[in-house]
Amino acid sequence: MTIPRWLEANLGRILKARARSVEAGPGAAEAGPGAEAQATRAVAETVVLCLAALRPRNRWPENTGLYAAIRSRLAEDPLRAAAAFGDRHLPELRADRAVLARVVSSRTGVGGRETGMGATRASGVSRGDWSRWSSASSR
Amino acid sequence: MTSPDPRAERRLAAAIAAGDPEAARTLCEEYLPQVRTSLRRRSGLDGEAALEVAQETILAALRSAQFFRGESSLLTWLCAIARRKTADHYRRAVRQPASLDGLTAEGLAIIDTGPLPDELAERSELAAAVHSALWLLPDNQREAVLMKYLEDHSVAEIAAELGRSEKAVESLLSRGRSNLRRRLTALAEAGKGKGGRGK
Repeated sequence: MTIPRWLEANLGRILKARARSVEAGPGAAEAGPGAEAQATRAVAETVVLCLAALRPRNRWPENTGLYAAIRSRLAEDPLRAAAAFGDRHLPELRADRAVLARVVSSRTGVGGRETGMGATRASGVSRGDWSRWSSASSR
Repeated sequence: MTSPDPRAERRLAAAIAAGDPEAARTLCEEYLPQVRTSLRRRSGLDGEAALEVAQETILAALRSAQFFRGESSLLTWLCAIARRKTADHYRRAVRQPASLDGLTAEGLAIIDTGPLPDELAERSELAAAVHSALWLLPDNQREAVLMKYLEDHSVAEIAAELGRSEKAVESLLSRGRSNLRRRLTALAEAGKGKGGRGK
């Protein structure tokens, strides 16, 4: 059978088989609708968190810092998300550090003004991550 | 399924553009799952990659909400963004080519022998190669091929959907298949030269 005939005969089957296997595969069957809803809420929370932090300056997420924040937040690690986000946006957020800490606290129930190293370690943020953010914030 | 309310969707987009975090939350919660489902069905991307592209889609939509005019439904607009993001994903993947040994050894064997067993059709290497070639086609050719071969639409239905004549759709399909053949042949040849396991 030639490649053109093979393609004609099998393209639909390959595409449909792939769609079936993806829909039934890991991340769908294993996670289930509950886990998917949870992941969706996590993304939504992160977006709201980041927007709220940016709100005083009415800026929009437009760079990789937000992507990093969302990926971290998906791993159920809100402070790491805030740290990643803060690293990228610090020049703009320096004056809004308290706002960001308050938002993190209200959305996640962790930290607030007390978002020090204890909370950071508990949430999996490395000492380097957090101190970079904190020291840059207080400059 | 209820049809979307165009005015409500325009209001939502306007609120997002104005910086309302709750509107952004609504977009994420209501549309991220739908975009992800659509990606799973059409893009060939598996769980992790589909979620990543869905997130990139939502973020792009948040950034460009002011451009949503309500000429189509919000989901249609998001799916158009998702298609561009999916094509970007595959273009990035081309810059970091995966091994095509699987396509070479088994793909070339079935090209010679004809029928494709179901389990082979589900092989990720083969599907990845086909999807990669497919998503690098020009947008209109790819859409026509997906509608025809994945969704089993007739030429007349595709013509209505794309707003083209049936003759134009047949031409798109023909060019799409031709480009796909060329790309797959190139992939298979490259794999044959590299792996030496093919026929």
